[in-house]
Amino acid sequence: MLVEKSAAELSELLSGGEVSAVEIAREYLDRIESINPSINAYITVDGERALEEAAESDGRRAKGEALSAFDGVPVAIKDNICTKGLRTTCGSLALGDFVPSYDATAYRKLREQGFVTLGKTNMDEFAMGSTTETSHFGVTRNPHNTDRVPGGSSGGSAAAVSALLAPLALGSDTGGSIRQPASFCGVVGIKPTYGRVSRFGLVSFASSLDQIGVFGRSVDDTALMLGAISGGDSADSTSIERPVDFAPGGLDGEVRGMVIGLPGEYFHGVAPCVKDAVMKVAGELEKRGAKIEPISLKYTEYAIPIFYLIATAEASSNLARYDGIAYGYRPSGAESLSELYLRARSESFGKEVKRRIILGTYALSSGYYDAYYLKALKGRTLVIDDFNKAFDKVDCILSPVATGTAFAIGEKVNDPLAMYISDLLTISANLAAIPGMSVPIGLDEAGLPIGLQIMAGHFEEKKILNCAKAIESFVEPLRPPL
Amino acid sequence: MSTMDEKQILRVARLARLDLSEQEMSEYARQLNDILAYVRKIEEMETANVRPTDHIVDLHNVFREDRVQSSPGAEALRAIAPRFEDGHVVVPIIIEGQE
Repeated sequence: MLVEKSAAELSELLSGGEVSAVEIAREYLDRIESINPSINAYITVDGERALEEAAESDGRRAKGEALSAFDGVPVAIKDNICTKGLRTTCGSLALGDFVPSYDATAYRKLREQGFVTLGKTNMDEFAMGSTTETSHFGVTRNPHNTDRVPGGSSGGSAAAVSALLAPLALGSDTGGSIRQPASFCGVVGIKPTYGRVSRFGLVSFASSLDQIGVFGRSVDDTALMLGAISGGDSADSTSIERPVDFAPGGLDGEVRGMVIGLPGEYFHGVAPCVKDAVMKVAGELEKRGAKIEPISLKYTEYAIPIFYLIATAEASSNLARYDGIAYGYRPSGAESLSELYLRARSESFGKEVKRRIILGTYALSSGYYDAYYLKALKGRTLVIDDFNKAFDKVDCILSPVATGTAFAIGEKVNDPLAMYISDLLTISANLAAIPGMSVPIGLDEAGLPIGLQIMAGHFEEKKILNCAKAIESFVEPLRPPL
Repeated sequence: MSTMDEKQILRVARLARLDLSEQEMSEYARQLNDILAYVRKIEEMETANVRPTDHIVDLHNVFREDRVQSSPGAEALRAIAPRFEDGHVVVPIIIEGQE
């Protein structure tokens, strides 16, 4: 089956003329039609567009004008990344009918290299959540067990890649929204360094933390797609041009001499099976010549409060633009402008989005700014210093991605604080703007995937990917679910 | 630091142009106070001599050429506007008594 092939394999088959982009797209679309209703990974699938793009790709290949080695390889795009002419809802009624007039830079780069768009994947509303349960378009189910959440907020992208409904997907990660669903769904996911990928066209949640990244089924596939979307962009002044030194051919999976830190704080309260799996991998890396070193990241316990104050403050400001005027949801019959604003927002935002806007507005409001927001910004400096000190001694940091495996659907959705606390192990990488990756390393007793996180210093994605490649070489690959 | 009573939640919701139902109000009052109690942990951090982080990656004054580029145009705006007539986005009356 073509859907079981990696993107690298598809690229080879396409280059050799053994298969057409249309055949690949058709096989994926057929599978989406039969499987997607049971897991709801996609919000929008545009089969006609996918087949058209695939036919164009085949036309280019026939003339020897392939745009890249990956011309004709399909991808899924998280629904907060703008796609010209293709509905982009952000999982919200507020953007329920929004069809962008431009492409996000990351997506434009994929189109310029000939990737074929299968559709837009489900997500927590405005990327605010850790389970994909807050989507206006219904919950996504974990392909490994449909009573479980896929994680979030990029749960649709993770589930699509896991269930063979796409070989690759774009996601976004503000506090773990790529790494945690990758972990829960048993796929590979990477959040690059802040600035590595342009955020232009990514619907803003918390601008100093948001970053676009990639899901794949292998380390090489993930590295190649990350390379395809990387680069500075004049439309995003926080993006940075840096060489892509992690092309799959350049990754050797060599860990000899690599110093790997294990932060004690990241193992408190972690389920024993997850802890054991991570420690086993650390042992294997040591056998292959890595040096394992215990380290301390002592501000970890403050990361959740710091993160949720900064993220909600930025969100309250970013989401002020949803006023019902120029685009997005507009209530009918509003008689004054203030009524229009009030109703547009109150009727179209879900509970979690409103909760975060209120918290963020409060943290920024007169009389509370110093105690909450400013204090959190100072705390962020301490978290960054913590990592800087650690990276003076180690190349990479290894930890679990989450304290356990996928939660049951409904388990945390009505307890926001418990949901926030579940992000403990992923949010610090966003606060420090460093890259982080999730790699599947096994299953728990219930058959649910366990993920391992690798973090490194700014723009050190190559170290992470090499370490991930080493791990991939000795862990048993997961069988695709469904 | 303080707790949020319903009056304060109302004030903040108003600032954010959100109208809360009674049910939302009582649910949020409880949840937001749980969250605030938890985030109050940041008071423990010694930050007297710590600079706040404004921007984290080493970037300063990003400039670009000031070039004229085409903008999306009225057609693109019409396509996404909830109400659009004669080249304009239609909104309710803003200033009373004007024709």
